[in-house]
Amino acid sequence: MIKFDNVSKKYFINQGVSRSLKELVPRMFKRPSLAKQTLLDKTEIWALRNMNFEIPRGESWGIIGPNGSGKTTLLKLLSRITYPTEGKIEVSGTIGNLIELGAGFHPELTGAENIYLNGSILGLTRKEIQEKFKQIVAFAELERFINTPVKKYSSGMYIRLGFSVAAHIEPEILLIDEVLSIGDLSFQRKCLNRIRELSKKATTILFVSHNLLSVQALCSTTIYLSQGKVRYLGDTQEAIQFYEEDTNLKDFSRMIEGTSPGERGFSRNEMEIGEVKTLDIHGEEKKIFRSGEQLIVEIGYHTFKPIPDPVFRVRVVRGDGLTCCEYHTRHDGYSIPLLDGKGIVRLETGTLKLLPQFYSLDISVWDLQSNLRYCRQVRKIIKIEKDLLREFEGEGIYKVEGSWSLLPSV
Amino acid sequence: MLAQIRLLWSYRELLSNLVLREIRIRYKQTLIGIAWSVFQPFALMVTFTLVFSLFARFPSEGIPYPLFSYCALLPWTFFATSLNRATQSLTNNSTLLTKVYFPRELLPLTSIITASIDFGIASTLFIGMLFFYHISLTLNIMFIILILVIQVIFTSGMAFFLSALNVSFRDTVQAIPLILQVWMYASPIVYPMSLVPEKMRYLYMLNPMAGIIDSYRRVILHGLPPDPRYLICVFFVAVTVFVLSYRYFKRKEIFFADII
Repeated sequence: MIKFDNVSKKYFINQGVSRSLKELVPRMFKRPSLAKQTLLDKTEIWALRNMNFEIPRGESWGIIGPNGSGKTTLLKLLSRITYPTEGKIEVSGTIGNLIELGAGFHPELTGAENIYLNGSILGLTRKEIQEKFKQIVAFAELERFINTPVKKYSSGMYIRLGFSVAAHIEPEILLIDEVLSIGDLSFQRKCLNRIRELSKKATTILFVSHNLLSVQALCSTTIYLSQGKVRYLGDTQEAIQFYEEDTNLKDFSRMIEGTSPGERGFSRNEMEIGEVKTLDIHGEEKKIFRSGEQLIVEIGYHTFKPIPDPVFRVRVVRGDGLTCCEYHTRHDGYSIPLLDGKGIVRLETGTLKLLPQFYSLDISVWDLQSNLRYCRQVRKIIKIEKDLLREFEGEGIYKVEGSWSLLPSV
Repeated sequence: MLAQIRLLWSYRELLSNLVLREIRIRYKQTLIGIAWSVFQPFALMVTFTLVFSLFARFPSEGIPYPLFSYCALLPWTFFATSLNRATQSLTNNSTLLTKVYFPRELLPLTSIITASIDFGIASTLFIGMLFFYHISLTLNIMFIILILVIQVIFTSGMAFFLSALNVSFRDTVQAIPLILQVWMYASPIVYPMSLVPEKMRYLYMLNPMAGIIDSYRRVILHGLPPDPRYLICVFFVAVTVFVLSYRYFKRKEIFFADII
């Protein structure tokens, strides 16, 4: 069983870099307070924030997320390589750790010598290694080279040996970090099968990978991490979908940065647009809508002084920068006599029959003549998905149904 | 403490494998291999005999100078090699530290054990020398075990402290060879203890290596029991250093992987 109880891990970015006596001692003489700062003043990063979960014995869990989201840190905390800044981790059972294959291999030693060394690093006794020695060598397909120093191995051979030793430790908890992407295809399959075998033997498995297919193949439950926080914990299928959508949204907003008309002209800093929510007609917040669905946009605002007759504009912009349509308080026949303090402006669109694509909602507030902008433009990305009832999408921007008929020829 | 010892005991196989690795690596692709561990103190002994006995005519308590200096050089080399290697033991194995869990103490301990193997091999030459110079041993030779235990306690204390310190401050590894060189002359290795002025003795004895080396000489070369005043003093210094250093090591241990 593995239990994370409100676990956080903080790293200092320049830890260990600038802390040398050379810098410290002169400061100590000049100003003691400065010396203390050298030791303490470091930019900090929360690699993991408030992790709470419990993995029952024998389950296989996947961990996915972009680079730097805290996946490896999580495994390192689990295997006691590093320790949490806050919170508590409870683990019962022996831990096998595939964070780095062949960690502890020494280039000068032969394959056989390294098997014994690496095996004991991973917690096997000499006797256990002796029993499994043949199996390990056979699995790695290295019978001919086992008495050669590993410095003469190809990188593939090196990795195969590393995996083979690690895969034969049969711990109660197995941590795997991105190791299946190595080796050729047939070896990858072999690894995957070996992990499956272990999982059948009631080994608890934590599997970190960017290969979403193998996560899907191995794990029933998946944690999706983003910036050190749990974005989603649950069914693997859902977690992967979540992750893919987030990634797409991010890619899209990066793309549209260059193409969209964006902000034009100068804006006066008289108010601020706060949180923008996109909801469906039932009031549920979401970012993905079906084509033909109604869209509700709630725009939080905060004025610094009373603004008479403001105009709210929401432009719907496609990925290539084309403005597909615009909502505009005045054009839509709504007027706000005075905006003061904090509040929310709500827009309910008609059925949006945009074709499936990513769109950005560019929100801004103007004066009545649309000459002056009161605040910085705010952008929100949404995705329109295919209408389930419709089989074909066709081309264009917007879909308005037409009805066809065949007229009798004259 | 007891739990710590039990934990370390359960990792004894890894410890022996790490020691084996150290030894194998050190002598891979060398011509004379393990003989290097005799060669180093031996060469120093020859040099010291030439310089301090033939040229400078240092007194040596009535003992042939080669024997006199080798008897001190052996434990000193053990001590110095241990510290030199232990200081780098954590930083040299940073891949292990950041990728796998095992009790971190094993790394400095590995350095001490490999140095003790060199010590053992170099000692065989010393035994030959004892026969060559017709030194008759007495039952007091049994004190050697006690002295060795105290030396190991002191050495591991220093090793824990220096290895952990070197993780945060790489200055340590630069400073250690220099410190050891000065330290060697502050210990009765090339000269006898009797050369130190009586008034300075107590200050001098704060250096545990002085008491340890003097005790070795008394026990082996003179057949006398060690001076209890010195040995007790050394024992307390050694234990204090060990306790404080180990505590420092354990406190720093949880950050090793983060800052290495």
